[in-house]
Amino acid sequence: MKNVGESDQPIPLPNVSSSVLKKVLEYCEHHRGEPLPAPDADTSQDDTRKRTTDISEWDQKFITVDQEMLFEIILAANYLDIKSLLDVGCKTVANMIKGKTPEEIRKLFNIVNDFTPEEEVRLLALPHSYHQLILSFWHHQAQIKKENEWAEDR
Amino acid sequence: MFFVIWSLISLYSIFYTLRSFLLDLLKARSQEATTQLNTQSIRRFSGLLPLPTQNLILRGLSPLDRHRYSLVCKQAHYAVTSFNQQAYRIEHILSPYFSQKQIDIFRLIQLRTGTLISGSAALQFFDLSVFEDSDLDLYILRDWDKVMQLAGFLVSVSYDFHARPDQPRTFQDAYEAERNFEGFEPEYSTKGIWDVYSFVRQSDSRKIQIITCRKSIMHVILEFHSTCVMNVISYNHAYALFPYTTFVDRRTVALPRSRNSGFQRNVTAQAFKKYTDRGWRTSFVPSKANILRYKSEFRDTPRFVDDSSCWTISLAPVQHARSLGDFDVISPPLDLLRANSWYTILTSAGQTQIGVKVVTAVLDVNNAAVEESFTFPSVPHNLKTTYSAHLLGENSESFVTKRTIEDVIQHTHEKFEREPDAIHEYARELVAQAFASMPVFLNLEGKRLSPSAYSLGLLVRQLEITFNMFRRDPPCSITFRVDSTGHVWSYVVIRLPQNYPRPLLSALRNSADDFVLKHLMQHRVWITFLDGTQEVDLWGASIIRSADSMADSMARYIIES
Repeated sequence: MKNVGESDQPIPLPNVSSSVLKKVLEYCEHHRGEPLPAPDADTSQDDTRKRTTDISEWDQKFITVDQEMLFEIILAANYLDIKSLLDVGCKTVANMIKGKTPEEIRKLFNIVNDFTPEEEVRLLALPHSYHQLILSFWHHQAQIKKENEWAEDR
Repeated sequence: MFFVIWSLISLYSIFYTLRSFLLDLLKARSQEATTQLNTQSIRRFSGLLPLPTQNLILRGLSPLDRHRYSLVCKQAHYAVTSFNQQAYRIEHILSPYFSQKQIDIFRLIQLRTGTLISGSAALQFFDLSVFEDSDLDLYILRDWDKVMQLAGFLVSVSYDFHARPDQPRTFQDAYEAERNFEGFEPEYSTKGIWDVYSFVRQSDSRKIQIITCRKSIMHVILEFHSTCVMNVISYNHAYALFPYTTFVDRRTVALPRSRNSGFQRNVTAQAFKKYTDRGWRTSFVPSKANILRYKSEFRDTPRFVDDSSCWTISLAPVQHARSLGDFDVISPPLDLLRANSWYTILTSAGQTQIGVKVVTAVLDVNNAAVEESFTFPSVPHNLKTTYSAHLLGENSESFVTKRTIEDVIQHTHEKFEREPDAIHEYARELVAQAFASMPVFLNLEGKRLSPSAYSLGLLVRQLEITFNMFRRDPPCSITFRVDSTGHVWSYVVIRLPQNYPRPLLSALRNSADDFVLKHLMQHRVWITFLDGTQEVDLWGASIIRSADSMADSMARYIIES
């Protein structure tokens, strides 16, 4: 809280509930004394560059919480500007998403699909499902062609 | 007097009671509000995290996972679109070497000289990673005017030429010197490279390397040791030639040359170690799932730069040119890279080999005509025939054709960007589905067993040939079994249609002669035809008996499903 400076006055944390703050403090307590990331380490790069930080065993155990708590911790870390905790939280969410289909991700995060059918067709026009559709058509065409050739042969 | 005092006390008492009541009410309301807030905060998480944290999540996903995530809902789509716009900017890889103004000038020089960025820098661009120990590799044709333009720019922005011990001290002398192959760093040991010139900035030791190519830059790129470095960035586009393998499978497939010397093998091993340390697994063949994908990067038909299996990212043009005199070339009509094509084959020895077709020589200054040249550097000698060229989708006549570059690009796209044959796709889909649902086979040491990549490719090709004999695709089942030597067999049963015409049997017999059958058996592919419940003996009983003995020995192995 470098913007607040040293003060005896209570610091309001309206976006962080007590249970989440307790978890955040537990994290900070465990990592007390560890060197902070160098201030200029990421200045040339934005937050789209990958980081090579691995999640330690303790962090892994710490972040194994239910989804609501995980999201609360990420929001608290973002609000309190605790970068390492934010990294751990976001990496955990990324791991939850990996390898899942859009429908599985919706189920995981309880998200409603708000695309219109037209938008969905447009979005799906590129990947696999479109190709499947086209393929079934080609296969059908090829089958007809083969049957005609056979009929002619006979 | 007493009455007044009593009234005052009563009033105070009423006031106190009322105050307490109101305070309790407020407290209750406040508690209710807090509960509501908590409920809302929980409900708020029935969705995605807020946008400020989205980039941190998205950078940890592969491109494919990001694409899937973008299809979840509008907010996710917006987050991914915004992320991609921020992430895939050429400035990310150039800013450590140049200021913003210098980047614009460099890109204009890149356009005028046809310089390509490749190697680690291009890999970082696509992968969004940062390799602290990397440098910037610039590939350019060995043309004095072009090379001097590029080198002159580097010197003008505080980079100094650093000669290798075997090179003359000045850049001009080094350029004019004879080629000295032995002095090269491991990655630059291909024949297509003339020489490598290093430029270092004293202030921060940043290093840029100019790699001069003898005839074709893409020929050099396609002769790299493995697939993860086959990414190139031109002025207006970035191309990843094997994106699924590199960024989803996180694998680099080695592409050995046919006659590697001991020195080359050694330097290639060093190059592999470098990328293994950066998180890529080296293998000699792609993953089986990758081979069996629709339009696989390793399909057995030719590919070209910017085909549907490439990952192409358009780069924003330089908006305001500052110091180059000739500004009328800022919007190039066509990326000449796209005239280059290649194909890969999986060999029965468990390797992946590459053959390339490159545009090798510009015959006049206006790029009016180019000479096409086919090279088969890795393909075994017996494949280097006109017939094999035809089989691989190449037209032997184009070996000597001279056309405009636009014609070559158009011809390449029309010829090679074809949708796969429908029968082939049916066969591939069958094998892919069977492989995806294959039980887990473990040997006695607990190691997982599976069919070889080559045998899966072989099975797809054989099924395609067989299905072409039928009027309607026959019912077909594929199972996998393990023999006593710990090898997995692909066991295919094809049911003949009722009342099938007699010529079908001879057609089937002709489609798989003794040589083909032995080859299939050698790679553990077994195909059986059933007429009702009876097995049709197309090729004689001796081979069928060997299949029975194979089935008997399978029980020794642990099979978990």
